[in-house]
Amino acid sequence: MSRKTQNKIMMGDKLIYSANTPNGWSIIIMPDNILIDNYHINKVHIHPKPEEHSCKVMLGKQNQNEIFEIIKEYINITHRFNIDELMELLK
Amino acid sequence: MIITLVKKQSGIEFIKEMEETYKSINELEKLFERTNNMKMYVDLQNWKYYKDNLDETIETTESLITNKLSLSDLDLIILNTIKHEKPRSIRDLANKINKDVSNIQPKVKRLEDEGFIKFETGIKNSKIPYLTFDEIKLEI
Repeated sequence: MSRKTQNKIMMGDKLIYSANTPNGWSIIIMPDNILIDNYHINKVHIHPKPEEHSCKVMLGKQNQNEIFEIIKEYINITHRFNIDELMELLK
Repeated sequence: MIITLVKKQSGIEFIKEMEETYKSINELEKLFERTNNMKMYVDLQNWKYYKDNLDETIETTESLITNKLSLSDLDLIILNTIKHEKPRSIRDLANKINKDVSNIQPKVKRLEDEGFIKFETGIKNSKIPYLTFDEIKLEI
């Protein structure tokens, strides 16, 4: 049986959510409103433009835990959020 | 240090929480279309899954990275008593740990503000404290 989880981690002014169900998984960075998920197409992608949900960029990294750790480390070290820098780390 | 609160929740409880927050799936769909809020999108996906899987168990965690742990010995006693002795009010909680209710009230309020406990309304409007999690994990 797969494990269903929902995690929420507060890092400074950033709140990172991750959720996992058999339908897929997601990671959200708030308040930047950035979503990384594998819903519907089963390939990991990022929605870099929150105002345009249909805009998706496929990512090279496919493992949710690995991506979650990369995001945590990136925010922890840089104390900022830049979508291009993050996409470079996850490509 | 990372403080993590761990809670096990059923699909039914998850849906109840969603209904309290958004009222219905339709309302949430409309709200997401209006706001493009990604948290709402994920809540929507999860709601669609759990409505057909009510008995599933979800492990929910909330983590906070902090350099200060603000839980005193008395706070831990209060949390422990709430978990194991299930007091029916703040006064009952104070009695169970042999403290004056006026000393316990501010402690309980702070634990509520920090997200460790919540209250439900009991007989004669008493406030029944309950824990919002099953475990606390500390990572250094």
